[in-house]
Amino acid sequence: MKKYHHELHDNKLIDSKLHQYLDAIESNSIVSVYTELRLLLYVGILLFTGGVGYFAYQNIGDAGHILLQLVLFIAIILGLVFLQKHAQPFTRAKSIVEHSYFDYILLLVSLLCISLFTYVLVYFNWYEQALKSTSFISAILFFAFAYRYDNKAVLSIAITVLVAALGISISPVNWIQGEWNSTLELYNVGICIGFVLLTIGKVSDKYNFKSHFKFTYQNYGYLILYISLITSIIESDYDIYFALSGILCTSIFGYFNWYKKDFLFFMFSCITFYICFSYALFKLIDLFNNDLWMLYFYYVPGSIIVFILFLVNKKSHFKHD
Amino acid sequence: MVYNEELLERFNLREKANMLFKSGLIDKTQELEIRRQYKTPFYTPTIAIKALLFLAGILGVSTISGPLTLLFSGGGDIGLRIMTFIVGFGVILLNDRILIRDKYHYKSGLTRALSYSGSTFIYFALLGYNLESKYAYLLLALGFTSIIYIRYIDLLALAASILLFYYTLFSVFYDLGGLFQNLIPIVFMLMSWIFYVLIRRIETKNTSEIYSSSFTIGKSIFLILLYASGNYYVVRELSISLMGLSLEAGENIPFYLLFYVTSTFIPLAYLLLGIKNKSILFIRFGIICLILSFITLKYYYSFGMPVLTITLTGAFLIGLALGILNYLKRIRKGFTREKLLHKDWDTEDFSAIIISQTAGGVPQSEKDLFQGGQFGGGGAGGQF
Repeated sequence: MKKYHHELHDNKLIDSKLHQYLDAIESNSIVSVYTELRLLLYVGILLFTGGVGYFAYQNIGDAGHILLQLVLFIAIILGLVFLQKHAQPFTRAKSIVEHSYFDYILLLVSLLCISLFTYVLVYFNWYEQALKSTSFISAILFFAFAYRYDNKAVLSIAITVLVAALGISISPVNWIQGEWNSTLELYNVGICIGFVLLTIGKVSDKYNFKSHFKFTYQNYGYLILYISLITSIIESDYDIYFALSGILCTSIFGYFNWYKKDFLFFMFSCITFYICFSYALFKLIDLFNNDLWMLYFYYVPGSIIVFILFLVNKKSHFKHD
Repeated sequence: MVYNEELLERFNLREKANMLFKSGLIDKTQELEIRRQYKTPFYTPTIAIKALLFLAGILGVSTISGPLTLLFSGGGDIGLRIMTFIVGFGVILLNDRILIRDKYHYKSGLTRALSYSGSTFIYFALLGYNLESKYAYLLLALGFTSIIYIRYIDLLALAASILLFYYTLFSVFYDLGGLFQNLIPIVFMLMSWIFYVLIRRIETKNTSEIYSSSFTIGKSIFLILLYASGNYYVVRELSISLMGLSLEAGENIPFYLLFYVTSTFIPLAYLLLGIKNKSILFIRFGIICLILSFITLKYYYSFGMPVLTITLTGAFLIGLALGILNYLKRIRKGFTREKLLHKDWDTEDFSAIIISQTAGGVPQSEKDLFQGGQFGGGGAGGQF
């Protein structure tokens, strides 16, 4: 068969203009460096903002420190001017900026703000006193940027920072070694945060306030809630109660996700349900001290296969059109 | 090939139509018209279902083969091998005759699970576990991966067979010893280049869309292998760890000047060729290899100022990227900064997750200054 654009054009399925356009792409007359440039810019931002923060600990003399803080401050101001110039006025709906690197400048400015903030704290030795509040202030700053300039990446960072500030690391990024870790039952906090995030997602969708942020809130909400539930089963003394409430919780959410045709969250719910249910089941078998535990060898592969076959049979359910 | 070529061409055309629709170049009615004219019976699920089906296939085969193995374990080594062969053959037959021919599965995950597990069974049935010669294992694995690629156009098998081929060759040269060991990188570089040129030749003659991703994968692997065989770090460290080369202070690896040159000039050559011939593949590998060469240089010659280097590199990259972005405001020399066609992985939600997991490396105390991992790394924590 011919190249696809020739084939489509010969059968009059696309017009000549589109055919010419596709031919230019296929014959390399026009090449897009969209992804490459963005990646380059992003790596640059990561290295630069990562490196700048460390200067606070380097011996570059008093003048050097002041100068560097001043440079950072000026860079932030310039960035903010750029953002204000190109940004749309604030709306409750999704605002789209037609600029090819606006989002990256936003990311750079918000990360630089955090760098400068940390730098100032370290330089004036305020760090020890401010330890607990710094992450919260950073989170608030990220939230403000995310809502003002409508950016999901910054919102994701904001949520990660906030959750880390509350003592949970939901990601490989270790934001802060908060001292709450050892004293609080973390999974309880996690379960609460999960519910709060899910509620925020629901509310923003219902009242149409940045409703496109719903996915981000839900994604983190479900992940934190379910991971905390599973952790609670492993760590808590009330494991069986947590397992039962996990079964209840995942059943309800799973039902709604099935109903709303959210495949990703339905899968999250199913996996967590499976873990809670299996735990409760084998705890029960253990209670009666039966030899039924032999079932385990067939239960795991058997149940997984049955579940997958069920999903494949119902695959048309999750199609959106 | 186990698939009907004509049907596969149509399937690819439907995929292209979907991509054009997502790029906003055709409307829904046009897409539906194309789908109507190019009907295929193939079953190809979404990526999540694919992964699940793969898991189900592997679990299914292992659940069935476990009891069977136990049943025949009385027959000694030969009995077990005959049994494994029969199971493997049965799995392949099930895959080819029922799933692919009758049910029209194409890249459904299940086909991959069955073809891999079936051939693994046959592989061990033929060779057993305690053969002396490693070449028997290597060559048969090479043969099997090639057959899987040719039969199912499985790109993973293609990559595996290329790497196995290189590894076999490496073993041959290694066993010959002496000068042959020192020649390995040079032979590998030459070979990669020849293979690249060959693939390029075949590609220009070929008009079928079926093999287009195979060409891309093949070319990418050979370009990376060409660079890696000439990279000073790779050659030096592999010489030390694999060939037991011991270097005193002041000593250097054989032909070291050559590897200084190749480490420096191959990335630059890639980049220049990419810009001159407008090949995005060369540009990408040019950038990647340039970064790797920079890291190689820093590894052996550190200026003792890692923070300054990182910050300045970052500032340079930001400036460079912004400069090019502004330069390409309009199309120049055939390059554009705009997105031309839709890519499935390029969504806002996906990049938000990646960014939130990698960005935000603000140091909290001096002690995690050199722990690294603050930038890069990360990745989406299995959410997809």
